[in-house]
Amino acid sequence: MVFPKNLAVLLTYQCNFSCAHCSVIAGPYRREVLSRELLHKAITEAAKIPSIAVVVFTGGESTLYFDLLVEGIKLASELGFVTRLVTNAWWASSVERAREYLVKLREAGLQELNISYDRFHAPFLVKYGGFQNVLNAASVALELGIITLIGIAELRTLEGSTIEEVKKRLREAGLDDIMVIQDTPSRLGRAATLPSDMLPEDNVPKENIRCLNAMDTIAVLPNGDVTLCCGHIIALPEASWFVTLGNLRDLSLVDIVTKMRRNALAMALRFAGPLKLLKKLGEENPPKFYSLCEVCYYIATQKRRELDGLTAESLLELVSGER
Amino acid sequence: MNFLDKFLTNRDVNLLHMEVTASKDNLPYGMVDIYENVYVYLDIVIGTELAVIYVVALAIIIAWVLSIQGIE
Repeated sequence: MVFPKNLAVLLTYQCNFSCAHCSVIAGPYRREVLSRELLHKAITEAAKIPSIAVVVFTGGESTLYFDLLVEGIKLASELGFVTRLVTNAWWASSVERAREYLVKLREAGLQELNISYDRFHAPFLVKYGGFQNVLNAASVALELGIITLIGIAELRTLEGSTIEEVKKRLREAGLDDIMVIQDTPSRLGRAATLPSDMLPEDNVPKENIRCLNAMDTIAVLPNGDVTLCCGHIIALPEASWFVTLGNLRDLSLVDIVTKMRRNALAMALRFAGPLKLLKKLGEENPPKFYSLCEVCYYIATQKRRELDGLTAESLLELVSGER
Repeated sequence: MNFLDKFLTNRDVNLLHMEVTASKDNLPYGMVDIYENVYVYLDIVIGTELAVIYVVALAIIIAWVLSIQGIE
């Protein structure tokens, strides 16, 4: 079986930042944390699913629950998974502190570090040291052999490209080996009010675009829910039901994944795409979307009745291009 | 029961085949069909980097076999 390839573990919705583009609506006031029991269950059962190669620890800011995070990384690593941590690097206020954290994570088996930094994260990171934190984390991670990249939610602003600015600063610091990738913001969650003229036009999805995240990366949420993607709607109660496969308290991860592989809606999102699904639901004049996640949110919140009228067979027809 | 359970199917679906079919539209223009299929299967099963190496190696071997048979 080819899917899923990745397991994303949202360890917590708590975060020391409250970024304006955060679709999870993470923040300091959030207290939801995945229990130790469910963390162990998710990872040990993932080992029974041969297609899963990578376990990603994300949130919220999962380093706020450092012992639990280290425990999860250690378990995943022992079971043969590639492990990745997504973080805002608040903890890397000096090279020494970065080393203190990263040595523990490396010893637990961490292989990849994904640092989130952009115009949204920057104002919050200032309190802990600013962009120097990114440089500290990246340089120590390189030294320890941890593959590192920086994820940037790019915006169209008068200040110019954050990606180019970050690349320049990395070059100046002699950190040319650090990869920089562009993240796609969606106008969902706390980002719902982001002005659309700030969003890159090249993110606007075309009709034949399918969702490569669906079925590929499943996510475990702090309450034990498992979703068929790791997109921007998974933590929004009004829309998350649209991608929720089941809860780890009731089912094993193996059973949940088996169900996903037989689910025609999951197949429709992956192989036909949310826009084709929306068309099948009778929407002739959809609003302008700036990401595929916005399409799924629209379907979940505006097209529930039409969705109720579909069957597995009709979704499979959509996938095979019939009718 | 979950909302998504409504869409469970007992039909025998081959996800790998569906992935290959759906991926064809996104492959570089001009590749021969069989290479596309080999590449996409390998990409899914063993990852992009190894898939590229395997496909290039396969092309070199085929070219070599053809050349020693005098076919150009």
